[in-house]
Amino acid sequence: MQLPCGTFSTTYEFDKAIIKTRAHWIVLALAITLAFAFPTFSHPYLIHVVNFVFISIIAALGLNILSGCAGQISIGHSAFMAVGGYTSAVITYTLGASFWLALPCAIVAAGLVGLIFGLPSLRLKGFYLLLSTLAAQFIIVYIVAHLDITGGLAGIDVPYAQLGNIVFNTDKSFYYIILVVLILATFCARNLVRSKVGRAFIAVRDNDLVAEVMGVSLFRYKLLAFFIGCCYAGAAGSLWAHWHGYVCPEQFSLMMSVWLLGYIIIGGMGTTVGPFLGTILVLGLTEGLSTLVTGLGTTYPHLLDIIAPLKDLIFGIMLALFLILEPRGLAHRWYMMKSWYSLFPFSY
Amino acid sequence: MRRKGIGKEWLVSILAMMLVASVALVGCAPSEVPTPAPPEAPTPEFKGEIVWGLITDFTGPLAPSGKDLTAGDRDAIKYINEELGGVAGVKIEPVVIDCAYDVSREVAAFAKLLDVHKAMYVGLISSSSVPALIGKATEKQIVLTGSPEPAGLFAPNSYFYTPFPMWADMQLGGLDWWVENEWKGSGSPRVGIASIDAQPGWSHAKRTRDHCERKGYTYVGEAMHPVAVVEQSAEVATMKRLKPDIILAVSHDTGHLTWLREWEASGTPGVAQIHHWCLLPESTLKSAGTSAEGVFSYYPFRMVGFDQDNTGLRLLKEYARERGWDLPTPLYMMGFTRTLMIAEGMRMALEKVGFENLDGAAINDALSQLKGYNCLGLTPDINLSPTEHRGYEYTRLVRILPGAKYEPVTDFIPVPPLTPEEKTGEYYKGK
Repeated sequence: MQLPCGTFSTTYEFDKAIIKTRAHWIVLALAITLAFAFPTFSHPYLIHVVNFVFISIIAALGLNILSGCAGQISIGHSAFMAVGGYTSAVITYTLGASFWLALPCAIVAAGLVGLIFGLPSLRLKGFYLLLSTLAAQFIIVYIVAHLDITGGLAGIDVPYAQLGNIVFNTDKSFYYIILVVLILATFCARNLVRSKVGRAFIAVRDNDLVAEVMGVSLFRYKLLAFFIGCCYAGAAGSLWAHWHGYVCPEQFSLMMSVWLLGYIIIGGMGTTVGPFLGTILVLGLTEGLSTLVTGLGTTYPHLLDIIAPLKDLIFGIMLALFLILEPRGLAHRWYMMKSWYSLFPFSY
Repeated sequence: MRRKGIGKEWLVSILAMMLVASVALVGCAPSEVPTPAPPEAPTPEFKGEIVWGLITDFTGPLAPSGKDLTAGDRDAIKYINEELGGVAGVKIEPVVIDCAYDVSREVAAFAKLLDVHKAMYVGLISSSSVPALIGKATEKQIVLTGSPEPAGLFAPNSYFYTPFPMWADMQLGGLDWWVENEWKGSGSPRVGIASIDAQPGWSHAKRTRDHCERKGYTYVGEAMHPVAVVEQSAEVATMKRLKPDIILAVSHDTGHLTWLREWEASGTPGVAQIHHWCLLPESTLKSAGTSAEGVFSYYPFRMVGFDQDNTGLRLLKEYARERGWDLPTPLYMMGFTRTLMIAEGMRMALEKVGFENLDGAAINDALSQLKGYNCLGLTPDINLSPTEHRGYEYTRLVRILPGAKYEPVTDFIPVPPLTPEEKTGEYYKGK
């Protein structure tokens, strides 16, 4: 990690630390305080949008571990969210258990299902693996759509999370649960990448044959990547279900999986900051264009059905331009900015 | 080494984006519209303004339906604001959000309409958004309308209303009429379902199965296709094997189209079909060509050009002419009539509590007491109650003619009554 100009690592502890300087600690403390205070001064709809963004980031962090760090491309991630969402829904709605029990169960269940669909990764790579995970998307959604316990195609009403007398039934109250899970998820992801397991993932991603020769067990680490990545999806799915108060198969579409992959590609694959930047950019852009189109539609109502599809056109053009001009993702820009800051004021 | 300028590419991309946005905006400028401006009408004085939210689809698989539905909503709002001076003097301000048949976007749009626009009513389009939003609507006391879904109609303390019966009600009404008037076979007629592999399709099949059992018809089975897959050769083969005398089909525009063409190509003449009203837009019928000829559909409204003129039909003739239509499409009619129905409920609520005290609960109370309202003569009498949120229990059958035209073969006919079990949301879950 680059340090501000004039700051040097003088001990192993200092070198290993993620947060190194007092300024870093202050910024982090301020950011967390701001995040917790956010609902008190924010517009209710903005909280709704932020909840959606945060849940998407949790899922994208998992996909980033699986695809960005371990190189196992998956296009069935929303199906693993469905596993988490439905596990949580069944545990709370059918069995009457608490959300606080359902959440860890959903995480483990999605991880275990991920292990099953990770098995082909031992023989498949690249586009072939992509197709195998596409099968996961269809199989899982088909199963939840046709089981009685999952409510079939009609879905299930999911009880809101509750802690004592506090019911988390509003965007504002549920925001805090999502935020805590996001902080924990980010902490785990950031640390995982620089652990022995994270380095093994990167070795497998960069060259699996060389990694195996070096003693990295492909069987173990590929499956572990699927397990961890899908655990994140399970957490996101469980939060999704209890936030919406309802789950149905149509919520976990192939397009959602494609977009999750899009978030980490745009944000920067293999970096912890990438899923944050990619998700915020894409969902922010979607929301901005939707607001623009709704506004224009109110001013020019007779042209609304022409204006509305334009948002998809503009969105597509902007993404294409972005990928042409910054193929390494937003994270690269972030690191360039940090690099500039680390040398400031002597950037030569 | 010279460091590459950070801003250059960004500048180019921002300029490109601005260019695209400018082209889009210039392309949307009103000066480009070729239609002449209508003569200036005196602007009515309004007491205030109420926002109505419309969650619809201008993109995605339901886009053709969404455009027609929203056109109907907007024309009715235009009529209310310009001709009636608003709802009891209060102007309706519509806010339309396109969600491209995406449940998550529909849930977000609902939150936006309530939190940002302070909407007092929300009109939906897709079946899937009804179960996702019904709980929130009841909790926030916001009246909803949309596809007549049992999840909304029979939910406890529901805030969901439709002017007309459920799809299955209308098709089964048509089936009974067909058996009595058209069927020439012996024994019991064999009935098959061609529908979508989604909850509305399966609950439709379940209801049809039970209805057939009660009426002594033979239910031969169903052929369901995934919503996103329009190719239906396997379903056509299944239905051919089941040898029905009549097929009840529910799908979206492209689903109907594919079914009709593949059924025609399969060479199975003499099988009657009653299709969901999505079949009826002129563009769909033109694409279907001869494969749609003789097929039945339903149109549960009075019809321009066939029924005796009344206020509503005269108005619709004018609007249809502006849009270049002979006959307003059923989805346009759905938008038009549901808007009139909600406006009438709102008028009653305004009279009772006044503009200052108007809220969702007051609108819901008023709507649940709406009796004998016929949407300017476009529908049979709408009679709502706290436990019955379907406005009327009639439909009418139309037959497709050559040249993408259709004509009514019945006036309003009653739909089969629901049993107490069929008036619960639970009945419609599963298969």
